[in-house]
Amino acid sequence: MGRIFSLLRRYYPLLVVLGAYVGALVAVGLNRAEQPGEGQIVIRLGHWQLETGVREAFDRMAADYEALHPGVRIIPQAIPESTYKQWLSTQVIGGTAPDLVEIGRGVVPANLVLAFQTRYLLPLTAFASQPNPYNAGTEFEGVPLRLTMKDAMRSAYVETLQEYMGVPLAQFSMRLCYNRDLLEKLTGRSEPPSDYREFLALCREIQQRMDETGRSYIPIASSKYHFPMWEARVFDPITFPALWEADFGRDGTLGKDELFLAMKGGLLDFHFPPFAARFGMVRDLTPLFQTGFTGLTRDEAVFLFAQQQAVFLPAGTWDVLSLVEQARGKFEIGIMDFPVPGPDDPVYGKVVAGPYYEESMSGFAFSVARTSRHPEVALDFLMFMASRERNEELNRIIGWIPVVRGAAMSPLLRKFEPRLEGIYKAFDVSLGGDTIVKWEQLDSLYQVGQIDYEQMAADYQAFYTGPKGLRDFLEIKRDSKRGRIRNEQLVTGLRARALLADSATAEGGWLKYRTMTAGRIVKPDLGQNRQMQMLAQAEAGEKLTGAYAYRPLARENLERRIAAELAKGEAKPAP
Amino acid sequence: MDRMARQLPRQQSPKDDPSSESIGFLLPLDDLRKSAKSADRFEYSRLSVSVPGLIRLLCLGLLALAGCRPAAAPGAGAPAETLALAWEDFRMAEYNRAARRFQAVVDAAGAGEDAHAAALYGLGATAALRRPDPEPERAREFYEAAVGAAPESGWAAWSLLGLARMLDFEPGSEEPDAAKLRAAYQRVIDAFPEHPAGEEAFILQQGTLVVSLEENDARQAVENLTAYLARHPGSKYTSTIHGLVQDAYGTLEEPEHQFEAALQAMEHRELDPANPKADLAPTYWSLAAFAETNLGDFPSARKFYHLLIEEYPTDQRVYPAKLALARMDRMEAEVRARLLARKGAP
Repeated sequence: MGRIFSLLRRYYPLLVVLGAYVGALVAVGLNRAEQPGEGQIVIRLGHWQLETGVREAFDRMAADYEALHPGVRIIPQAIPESTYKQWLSTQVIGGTAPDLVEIGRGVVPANLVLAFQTRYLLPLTAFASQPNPYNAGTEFEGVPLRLTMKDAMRSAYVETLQEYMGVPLAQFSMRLCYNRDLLEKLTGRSEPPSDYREFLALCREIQQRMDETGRSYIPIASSKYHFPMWEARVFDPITFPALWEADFGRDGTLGKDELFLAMKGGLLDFHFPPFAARFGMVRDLTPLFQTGFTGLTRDEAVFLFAQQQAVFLPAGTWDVLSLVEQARGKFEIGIMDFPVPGPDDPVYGKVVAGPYYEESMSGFAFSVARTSRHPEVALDFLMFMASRERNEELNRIIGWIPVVRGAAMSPLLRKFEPRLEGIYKAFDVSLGGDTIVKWEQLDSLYQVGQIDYEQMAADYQAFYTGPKGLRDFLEIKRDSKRGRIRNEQLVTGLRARALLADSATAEGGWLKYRTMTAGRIVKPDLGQNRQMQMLAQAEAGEKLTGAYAYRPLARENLERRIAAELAKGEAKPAP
Repeated sequence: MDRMARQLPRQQSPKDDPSSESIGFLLPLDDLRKSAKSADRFEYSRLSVSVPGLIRLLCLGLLALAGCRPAAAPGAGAPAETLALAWEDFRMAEYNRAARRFQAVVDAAGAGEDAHAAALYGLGATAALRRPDPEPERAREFYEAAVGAAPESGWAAWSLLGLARMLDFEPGSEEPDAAKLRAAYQRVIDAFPEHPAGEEAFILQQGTLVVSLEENDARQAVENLTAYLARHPGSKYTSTIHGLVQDAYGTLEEPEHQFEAALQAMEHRELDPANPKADLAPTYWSLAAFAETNLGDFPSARKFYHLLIEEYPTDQRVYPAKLALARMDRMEAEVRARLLARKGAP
């Protein structure tokens, strides 16, 4: 033994070098094993989804596809989400990107997205309007690919480029998960109430209960990752009525610049009842989260839930299967809709305009990289995964919602089906640099109860409608003007494409060109100029007219018509 | 898969840049070691070479270079193909490469050829629109050269329009000089009254009158646009023109005419079937809201709210449209009750 030890000590450097050499040989060998054989086509697919089931799903898709196409090998590459952006940037710039790359919000900085897509990804518009060959023999045989999807592939269409830049493979939604066993143990109920007030009372009851160590149970696990889910589904939609006052562009949505004008013009302020209600609900719910939730990460909240210290946890479909796996054998997970006040709520009922609206969120989208050596094969594999049968299977393994219409999903996921009728957010007071910083400071203090609503409202209202808010508003206008060159570049490119197109495609090219020109070139300043007029009125102390307020002519015409009806004896009820 | 292969655009990547010239050769290390014994030496880092050795190296290098194939010049292909690649570069914001390709076509094509003018137009557009570092003076030269090279051609028309458009986004200037801009558009209109570029110049020129929000300008725009439509009933920009008339009437505060123009704009609107976001939902909403709150025309408002609900059932405005329908019912009930009370009827 001593001799061995002596030998090791004597030849230690050589052994380290030998070990490194053997390690390198193994690495090279493994890498070589991945290289294509003679005549074999390799398609690499890069993604960041490390959730339970995703890698298994890709392996299954790859095996099934390879069985159909023996000369092809599919190699999925899972990259941690935290490094995906940097990895993808390096790969595309170096010309070594995988053939298929997952794209999504936040992968590329917002101001670089268009340039990134144009330069590194292939447009897929031609294929979106063609049938998916892997739908042959199904109800989607002959149906254009985009019409086989629940959102008609809207999420993958980049309007500025007038191109489809990817193919989505799943839909997403959010709900509230709960520990059914713990709920029953602490409250005697196996199902939580859907009524907002009853839900609050239930959570307060949970908060009074202690575990064996004397720690209070946490009604709702939360974090800085989960808080936006509450904002999206519970707090923000109640602000919808502000739209009737401030949607000056009359497009059915409220821009941050419009809200600023409405506040400057005396139409809205922080005492607008729906705004006060929004923050009232924040004050109702945040005391039911664990202390310090604003500084915690997603995993810390999930840990609380998995360790059965918290009863409720909001989750997206992308996380549910992972939660179910963590809970397997320990407790049963239930799914419920987010509890929101209804029209008969004693506090907020008067301002509740309806249930919340959920946009049909498709994602998990993949694009074909320009540097792919076999783009037609890469695209074919994408079509394979987007077919009715395969998309159902892909999402069944992962535990997500299929993106293809009519595809079956697990009973657990049926509760995640998005609600497509309802109200939505009409509140965004972060105009730009100064207002964003100030708002985040005050909002954070409010969330943890360090200031009350009156103080927050007073502080922010003065700041927002003062010189700094105005500066941020004017900067938005300047940014918009600076951005017009991008429209000009795009239109010029579309025009050239149409001019050089053959007779078969020229008409479509000209249609795109005219659409873009009409929408972005002809009168880009009209809306801005009208807003500047309104700003001048507001600064002069005039109160603006509400966006959907009845004008005098409207009232006169309405009265005249009904008077005429009554005169003719047509005292009929409204349709 | 073969069909897909034919439809996919020809690949380009930074590595395919034909203008890049990368030549490498290996240093002849044996020669270096042999020449280390020669008399004249110099030291460079840990490498020691003699003068004869260095000369030998240089000769080997020249031989190696002689065997290298020079990089293909940009634009070595047919002009049409090179132009298409140049515009692809333009769309990818590879402006230097685009300019090299356009220049190659200018150099290769004869002065009277269509490709020559097309390439000059491309050079003008690239110089004018590249960011960063736009080259407005060069852009003007290229555009004027395109006009001079083929004064009757479509490229001349688009070049004149390009010259006018440059005034709308001059670097360093926030507001264009409206009078200069309108004059520049007029130059296009006068030279090419029936060409699409001329039509576009007219629309853009009238657009400058509409966006000023001045009453006189708005009145002038209504007159000009209405007259144009009468002369060009089949114009592909009919919807756009009606839209400008609608906006001008907004400035003039004539809501009935404004609504009529909006209806015409909607009815003539071109929808791109390949664009899933090009739909009439926002238009239906806007028409309905205007009819309801500006005109009190509830039958029209109801018509458009119902069209929105039926044709676009997943649009986020569906529920608000239902709220608006309920609001109109309440308004009518209130007015009816007030009038009846005034009449003294039960």
